[in-house]
Amino acid sequence: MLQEEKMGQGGQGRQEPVLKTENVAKRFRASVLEDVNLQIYPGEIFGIIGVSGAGKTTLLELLIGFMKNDKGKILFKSFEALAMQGSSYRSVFAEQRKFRSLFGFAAQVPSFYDDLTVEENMAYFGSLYNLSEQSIRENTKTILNLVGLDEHREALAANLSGGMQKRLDIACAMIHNPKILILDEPTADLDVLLRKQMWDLVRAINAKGTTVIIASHFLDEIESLCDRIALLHSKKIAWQGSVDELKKHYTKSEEIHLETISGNYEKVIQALKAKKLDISDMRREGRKLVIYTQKAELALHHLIHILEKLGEHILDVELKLPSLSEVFESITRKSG
Amino acid sequence: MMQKIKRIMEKNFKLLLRTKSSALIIILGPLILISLLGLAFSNTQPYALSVATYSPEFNELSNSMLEKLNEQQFTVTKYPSEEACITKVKQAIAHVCLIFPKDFEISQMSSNNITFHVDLSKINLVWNVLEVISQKVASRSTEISEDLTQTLVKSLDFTKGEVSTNLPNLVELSIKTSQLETINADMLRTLHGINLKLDEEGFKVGNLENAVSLYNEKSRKVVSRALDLIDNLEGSYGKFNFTASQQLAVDDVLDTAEEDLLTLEKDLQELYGSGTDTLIGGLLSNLNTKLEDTKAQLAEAANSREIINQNVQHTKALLETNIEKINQLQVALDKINDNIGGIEILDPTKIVSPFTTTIRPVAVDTYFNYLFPTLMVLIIMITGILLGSTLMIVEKKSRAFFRNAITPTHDTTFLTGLFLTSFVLLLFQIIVFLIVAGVFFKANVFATFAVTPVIIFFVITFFILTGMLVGALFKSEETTTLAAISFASVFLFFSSAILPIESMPKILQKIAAYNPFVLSDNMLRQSIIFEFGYGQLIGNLLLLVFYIALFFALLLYAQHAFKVHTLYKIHKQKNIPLEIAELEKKEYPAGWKGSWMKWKEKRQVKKEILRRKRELWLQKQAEKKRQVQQQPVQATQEKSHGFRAWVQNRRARKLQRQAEKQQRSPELPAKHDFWPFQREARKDVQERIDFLKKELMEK
Repeated sequence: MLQEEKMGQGGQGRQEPVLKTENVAKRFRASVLEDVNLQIYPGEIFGIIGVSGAGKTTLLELLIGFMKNDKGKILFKSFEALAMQGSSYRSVFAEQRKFRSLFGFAAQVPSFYDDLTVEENMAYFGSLYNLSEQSIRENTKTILNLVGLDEHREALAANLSGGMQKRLDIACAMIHNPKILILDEPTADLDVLLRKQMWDLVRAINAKGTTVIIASHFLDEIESLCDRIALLHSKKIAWQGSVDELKKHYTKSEEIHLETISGNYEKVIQALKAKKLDISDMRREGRKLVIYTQKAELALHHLIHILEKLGEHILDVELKLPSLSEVFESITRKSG
Repeated sequence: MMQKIKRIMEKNFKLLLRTKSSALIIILGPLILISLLGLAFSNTQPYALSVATYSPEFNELSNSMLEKLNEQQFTVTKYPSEEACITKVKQAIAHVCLIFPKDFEISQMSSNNITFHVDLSKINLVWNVLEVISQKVASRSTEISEDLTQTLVKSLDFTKGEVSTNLPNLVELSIKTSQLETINADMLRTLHGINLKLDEEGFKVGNLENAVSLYNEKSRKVVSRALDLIDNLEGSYGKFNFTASQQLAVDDVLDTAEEDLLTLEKDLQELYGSGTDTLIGGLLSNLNTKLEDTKAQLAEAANSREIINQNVQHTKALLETNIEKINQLQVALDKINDNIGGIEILDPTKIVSPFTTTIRPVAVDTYFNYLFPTLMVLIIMITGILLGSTLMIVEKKSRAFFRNAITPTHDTTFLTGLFLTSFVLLLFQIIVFLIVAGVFFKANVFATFAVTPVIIFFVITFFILTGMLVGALFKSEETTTLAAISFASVFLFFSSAILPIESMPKILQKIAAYNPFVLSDNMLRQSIIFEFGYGQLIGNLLLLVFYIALFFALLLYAQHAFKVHTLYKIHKQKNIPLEIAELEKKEYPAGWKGSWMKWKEKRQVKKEILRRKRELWLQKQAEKKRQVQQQPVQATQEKSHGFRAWVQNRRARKLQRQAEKQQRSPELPAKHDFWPFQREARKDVQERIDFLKKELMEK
């Protein structure tokens, strides 16, 4: 699914947020968060990005009411209340018990009992959510299928591999069918393959209607998964919105990365210059030619034409919007 | 809630029993413990003691003492020197060292002090040792005392007999002395009655002398007159007309008369003449002399009388004193007689030991039964505190703690589940303990079945809560275990388990009376051994219930207060990365080769992790550098010279070099490890390019 198609699912103006913060601040020995305002809408995948130590985990733990915020409000509305007009928001901290039934949390460090089996862990945590034995059995079956641990239900949790443990952690977080699933650094310490599997899992969970909140410092996965993101920098939310809006807001040009067999781009450059396209810069980076333009499609169109004319064989052509990391750097630089 | 508690307990049991060693300890632990305790203490034998002894010269008396000790199965060993004897005690080879003095015998001049050398550091043993040894020595001493007392009694009997026999003599002596006194008094009276006064006046020696002198004078006068007369007569013859014859006759008569008168005068002179050569004078002088002598003698007699008087007075006094003393002696002897007669107890045994003591235990008969309640409380305390604290800290340190904390389950539920788990485990152990104690070692555990289980319930509850509180307060297993042991030690030391509470200062005694261990011990002893009921135990029971409520409240508070803090401390610590955790699970060849391979792979993984972290750090540094470069002028102006400027510039140059190096090596990921995922983006773009190409072709 392309990013553009996903954009229609999130965004403001759809409905009321299921979870929101108003001027939330938190302080330990020093201030960690200040003036945090977030809105998370039902059904979306919401990403929180920031460098390590920016306060992402703290923000998540505030969102679930695990800690009390020093200032501001963290409010939620149940999904039933969302459907009712005129219903009011409730404080997460004040109604922790009610809110805890709504969300599932998978922390950076998987949280389960190593000496219990997968099924036993699920059953145990399910019982803590006041589920009946029948519900626990049904949910366990469904969720283990979803996360791909069905074959390992009798295995001790300690004997699972790293990726499986992460999945078990998510399974335990979902045993009670939460409306909101919060993942803190879900792919930290995972290899490439496992990360991809994790992303697929997150998408599958979201496809079932679960709102997913992901905190990560891996910008590519945020860019890949999330409908909307919040950028946490210098204790504040520097930006909140969809990824493309973010990119468009902060960058003006796109990049075309071209690699040909010959690696000789002088004629190509001359030809492009002659076309007087809206190209701000062209430079050679290794074996590639990078073209900076505000009208990438038009430029790409002409470029392919020129290459064919010159008889150049294309090894690789890439249209890059500035990456989220570049945007992130840009924002963080500006925010200071 | 009950369902949740049940699940929590199931989970805890599974976690515990899945570790075989834990399961073994839980099941076999109490069995082994009770077996050992029963075997060790289920006897009534006195202590088997080893006695070292030394004496410069062992004699019959000291050997008899040692024989007495040997009778009681004590091992007695003689050593050649006092130092060697004492050294044996220090080396714990002997329990006590007895030193007999050189002249150890029963006599007036000998010193009979037996010195005991004991090791006071063996607190539990030393007083029992002293008591036992002292008892034995005292026993022998009693025997000797009885012998001596027998001698004394015999002497008393003899004395009584002699007194009784000689008392009449004393009476007689008293009587005779009284008589002597009377005689003395008579003598005194007689003496006083002797008149030794010389009535010199009565002798009238002076008068006699005067009279003699007068008679002498008169006689002389008479003679003289007579002579005169004669003369006159002779001269007066003429007047008388005497005849010649007549005259002659008269002359003869007158001559004769004159001769007679002259002879008379001469005789009178010889008789009455002054001086001592005359008869009367001599006689008078002799009389005077004799009178003087008599006077002197009388004076001397008076002196002697005086002396005799004094002596008689003295004798009188002495006799009076003697009589008094004799009376006193008589009284004393009467008293002695009466006292000796009044002594009812003449049996030496009864004199030396007028009363005997018999120690009867108020209840049962083996050491095990005496110690059983204290042992049980000790086991409950140590096991409860350690189990509660360990389960608590294991739960806190487990990875699942966070997930438990974010479920809609109250802390009380978790605590209750944990408590019940510990309770069931400990109760199981105690039941095994009680069954084995009651069946095999005949401990009196089932006597008060209505009371003892309730007490055991509260005791277990309290100590488990204490352990859980310790676990809630501390953050690491080591600290928790140390704290749990410290708690248990405090309870133990302020009880009678090591030293009697009564040996502590008053203030500490009062504090120790409120020690839960002491309360529990007392209640169990009273209920098991003395079969007390609720009425007699209600005070201690209520106090224990109060402690339980207090500790539960503290536990809830500690759990709540430390939960977030603990999570941050525990879960924000550096965790083992997953890659390394997986390496731990991987199988390697046995031996050094496998270890080396494992180390090598771990090193590589750690390097990779470090490299990633370094990249992130570099990114941060580059960002900082850019920030610095944005204000170069100001920075340069501010720090254009000096050491700090040099350091800053050097750092900036280094970062620049690193950034350039990164740019020059495209094989490394540019910033993050996400470049493979750009392929996804490339795929999308590739599709677009293909689409555009297709359009071009069509055009």
